[in-house]
Amino acid sequence: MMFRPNRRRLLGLGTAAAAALAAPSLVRAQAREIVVGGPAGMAGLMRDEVIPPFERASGIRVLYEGSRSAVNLQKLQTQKDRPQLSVVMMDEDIMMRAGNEQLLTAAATAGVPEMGRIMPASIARDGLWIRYKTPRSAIAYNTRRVPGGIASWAAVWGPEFRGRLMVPHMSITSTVQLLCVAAHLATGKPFQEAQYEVDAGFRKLREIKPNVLGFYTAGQQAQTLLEQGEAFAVPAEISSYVLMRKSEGVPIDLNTPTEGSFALPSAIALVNRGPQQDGAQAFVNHMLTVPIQRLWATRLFDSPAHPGVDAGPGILPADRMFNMDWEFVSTNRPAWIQRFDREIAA
Amino acid sequence: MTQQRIDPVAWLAAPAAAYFLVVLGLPLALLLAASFRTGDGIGLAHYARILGDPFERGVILATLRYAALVTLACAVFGYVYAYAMARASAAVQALLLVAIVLPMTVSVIVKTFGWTILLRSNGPVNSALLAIGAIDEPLRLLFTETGLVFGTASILLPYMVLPVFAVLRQIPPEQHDAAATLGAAPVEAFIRVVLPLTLPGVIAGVAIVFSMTVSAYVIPSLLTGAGYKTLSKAIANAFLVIYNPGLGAAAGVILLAIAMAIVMAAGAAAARLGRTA
Repeated sequence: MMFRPNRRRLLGLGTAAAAALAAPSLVRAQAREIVVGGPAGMAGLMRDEVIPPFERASGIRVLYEGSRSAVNLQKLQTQKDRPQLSVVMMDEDIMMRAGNEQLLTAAATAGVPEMGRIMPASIARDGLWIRYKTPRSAIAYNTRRVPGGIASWAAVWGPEFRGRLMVPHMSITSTVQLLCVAAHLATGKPFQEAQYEVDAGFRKLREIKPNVLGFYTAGQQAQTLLEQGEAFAVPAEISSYVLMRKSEGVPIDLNTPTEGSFALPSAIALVNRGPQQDGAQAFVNHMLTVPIQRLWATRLFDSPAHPGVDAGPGILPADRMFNMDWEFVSTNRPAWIQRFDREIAA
Repeated sequence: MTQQRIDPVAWLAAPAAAYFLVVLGLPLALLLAASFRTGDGIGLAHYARILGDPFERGVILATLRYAALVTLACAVFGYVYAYAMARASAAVQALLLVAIVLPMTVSVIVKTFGWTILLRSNGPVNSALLAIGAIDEPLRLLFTETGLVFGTASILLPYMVLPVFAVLRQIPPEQHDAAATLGAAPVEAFIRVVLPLTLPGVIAGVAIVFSMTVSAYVIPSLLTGAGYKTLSKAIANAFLVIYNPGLGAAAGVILLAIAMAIVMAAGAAAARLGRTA
């Protein structure tokens, strides 16, 4: 039978089309749902083990959008007037920038009771963001290529690593720690003072160039080459990735440098004027509970924020890692990125 | 004077035109507006910075060089492939066509990661060169311009092969035979008869491959990381890393202008060939 359009049929079709288009938002409004923006590397663990128990207990559906911290910040900036994210998980210096731009709102124990049970040092700016775990940053190396391990940060400047290092670009947060190490090696000052010796750091970083196989902006690029032995080492890589892969039998490890390891806090925050604020607070609270905190320690080998969770052997407590001045990093990083491009990665 | 009426059939293009106006024209207009926005108001500061800074100019030149090398590689290898395909028997032609089209169904990320395996120090390329005694020790191919050019060319090769093949298959073999009858050697017959007739296909392929290379982001990011600077990487950097959307928008406009200039030049060259043919 041929379709013969008339006014009534067209009106009917229009109504049906409008209903079909509006249906997703109507359904979304009825079912409680929050959108969480977090690291892409944690997407699997979040979707498989962190989010399901929360959804079962609360009846709130969680959509996890995995991306880089910089991309999550841009989402917050572009959606400032009508945010779609309710919760955001980013590196601390990016979180600082979001906080300065009034893109976040403080959490309190009334809505997030677990805040009263975690280590006080984990709460930043009166709850504007919370360091829910602290990965350790040091040198990742292939155990077949470097069977004796790597004792110190200074070693990766040595000739045995010529053309065999995958070095992170300055747009990756851990690179600021490599800059601090370079400044420390150049000046002999402790990390606490060396982190401000930026010029000396850049001068020393230039000396590492003959050892560089490539500068990466996507972690997986370096990780693949490291695991296959094309790259011998990746300076400034984090425990969450290295130790998890090591536990799966991949021949890589994270060293404990004589000069010390760095803390790279993972932070979580409520989005200012984000939808479903109560659901968002419940999710942040869930991230701080003992079972989930234990998950960070046992699966990711990161230092938990909850004192009731035994981190286990091999996991350095957050207070024994050097934590950089993230305010200083956040202010200067855009300029460092441009300088890195011109002086180091050129 | 009689008023020329618009063919009613032409209105069928209206929905597509409206769609492109919204999804392409509007974002481009916003991009253009953003490129003039500076901290103090409106001006050309971002363009002055890009065009006045030797480092930024170097990025533009590196992008053009990369696109030119990839286009050259595609033109050489693609033409030979298309010629062989046009001259092959029906069965072999079908096989060659599948071989060139099938990789297009695979994600560019997968193909690029495949190249990182090929280019490793102990990968197939180095192993083959070592085996035939061409080199004494493995070459460094990963994160180099050589690896980038060959990796990109292999991925974009179909976009050169297909337009050249489309033109080649329309040339009757008798033309080549006629040239031979008139005394032209095979090479001369190819250069004076076949090549000029296939130039419209080559120009189309050049326009497509050059435009795709000049704006490529994923391939250079995966094959060279942050070491090899291109305009597309600079745009992403400006928006996502140094938080300077005006600079990123200006770089985007420059990239668009380069791509448009190439496409328009190719269009003009094809039209000129059409007139002289």
